[in-house]
Amino acid sequence: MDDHIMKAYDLFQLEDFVQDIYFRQWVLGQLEPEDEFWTNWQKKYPEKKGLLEQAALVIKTFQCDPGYVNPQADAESINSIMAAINLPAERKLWVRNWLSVAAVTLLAVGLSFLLLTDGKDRQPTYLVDSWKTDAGVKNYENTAQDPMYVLLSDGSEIWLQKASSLRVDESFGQSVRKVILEGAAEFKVQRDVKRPFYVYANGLTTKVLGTTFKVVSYDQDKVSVSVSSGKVTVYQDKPNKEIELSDELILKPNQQAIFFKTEKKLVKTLVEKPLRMPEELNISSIYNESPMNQVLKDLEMAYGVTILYDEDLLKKCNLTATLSSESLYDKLELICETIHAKYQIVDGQILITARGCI
Amino acid sequence: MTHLGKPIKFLDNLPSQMGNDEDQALWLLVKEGDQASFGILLERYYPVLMNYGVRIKDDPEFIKDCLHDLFVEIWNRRYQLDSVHNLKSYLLASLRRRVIRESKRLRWFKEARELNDDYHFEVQFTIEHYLINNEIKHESLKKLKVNLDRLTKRQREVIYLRFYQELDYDEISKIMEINRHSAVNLIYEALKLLRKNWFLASMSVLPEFIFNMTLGSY
Repeated sequence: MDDHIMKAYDLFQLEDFVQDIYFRQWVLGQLEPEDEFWTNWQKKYPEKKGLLEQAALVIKTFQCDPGYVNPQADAESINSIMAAINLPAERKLWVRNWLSVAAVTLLAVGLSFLLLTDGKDRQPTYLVDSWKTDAGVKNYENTAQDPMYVLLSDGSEIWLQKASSLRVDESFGQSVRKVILEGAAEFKVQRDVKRPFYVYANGLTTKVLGTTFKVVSYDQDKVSVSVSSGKVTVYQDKPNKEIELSDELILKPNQQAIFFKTEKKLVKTLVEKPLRMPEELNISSIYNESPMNQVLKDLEMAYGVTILYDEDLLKKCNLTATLSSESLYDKLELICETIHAKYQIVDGQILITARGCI
Repeated sequence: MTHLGKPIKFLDNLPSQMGNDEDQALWLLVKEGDQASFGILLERYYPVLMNYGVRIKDDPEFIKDCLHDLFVEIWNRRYQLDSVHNLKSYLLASLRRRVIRESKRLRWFKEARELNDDYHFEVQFTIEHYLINNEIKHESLKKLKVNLDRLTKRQREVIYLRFYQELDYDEISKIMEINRHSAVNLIYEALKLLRKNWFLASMSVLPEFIFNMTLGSY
């Protein structure tokens, strides 16, 4: 992971910097904020400032346009491929070869423990049960009113809320990072792409690489997971069953998943109070006859959310307003009022239905 | 502050080696007939493949069909498939071959029209976007625009694969069916185009553009 420290960056030319992944990530703001390698490097080699600035400029100016992006159409295409491979003939083959299937499943379980592929934890509930009786498990319980601070061996921080408990296996962090939560907690997980961090809570599994998020499962029937930064994957536990794609949700900042246990339903929505993305705080919010499409794009950037709307329809719509500290929903209300539109939250996205402007 | 015409959003393109271990495990499971893993593979790579395909041939429906056939074929032939070193570049290469093959085949059925050039690759860089959307008066920027217009389709594709898909030269050379040396050269030639003429000018001429670019401000 730290092979960049070994690199002879002081001998690098412009082209080398431009192509260096670690440098690119820094320029594009993809590194963890606490990673100070390049800031320190700059201090050490002040004479390289001009070169670094040029390289950064080339990286930024040579960014490719987004091109074709259509998550909804992609999801439909994926479904149709999954349907195409799932033909009856295929199933018969499976039944006939049930012995080899059993072997495959064993292999699958083995591999998933080894390498932790997405959503591949076939028996989380089983695991949870085995932990309950295991002696090598550390138990944190917060009976006080104030949140209890827990620092894990990997540097991840947890604020355990009142009337909540957290179980951590003693082997935590050696090859996997897994905890079991009852109640509610806020997590700030140290990034480690090789060892995803799993939170099991009342039938719902949350998987992250390194993010800040909150899990609430006070209610026997309801678990909610809300994300403040980074990406989070959630899925419901299904003992002895394959995790299907439709069970899995990927959450981005300001999105929230709610799991209704009895109905076995997992829905995606937005958090109650969406926060502005810290890296996008400089986005302008003073509009003077500004095109509505621009305003909506700014909002998307500022809050890291997806807003669905008909660009053609809104082509002639303008906005003159100063959007400042009001909440995202208030801003949407204002916009919708201006152009006689409506908005709703669908699947964690904001859908704007409008009639267009003259 | 104002933006560059309209803000360009970039896909979440993390370096390819990051998912490599997971990819290997995923691929093994797919080979063993695990449908859920196949689904994860699709979720992970379908969007980038669509993005790449539409740049080669600007016809999303056509690319969609190619990908459908490609993935169904991969699933049906999963037992015979070799292990792959890099799943992403394997998929990109398979798609590229298929798109070019199918386009040629399709042409047989169509009238022989102006279709002389077999090969397309559409990509626009941030700087081009800026130059196109703003009136450029400064000489060195005009020169830059001329230089950028001179970039070949191949150079554009290499830049896309290198910087957008974050692939290394070995992977790029396999995908584009060129040797490694040519891939390296295409990139260096492209970067050289930028090196001259315009840096000094751009620093003073593009203040807005530079606004977010000061180092250490993240």
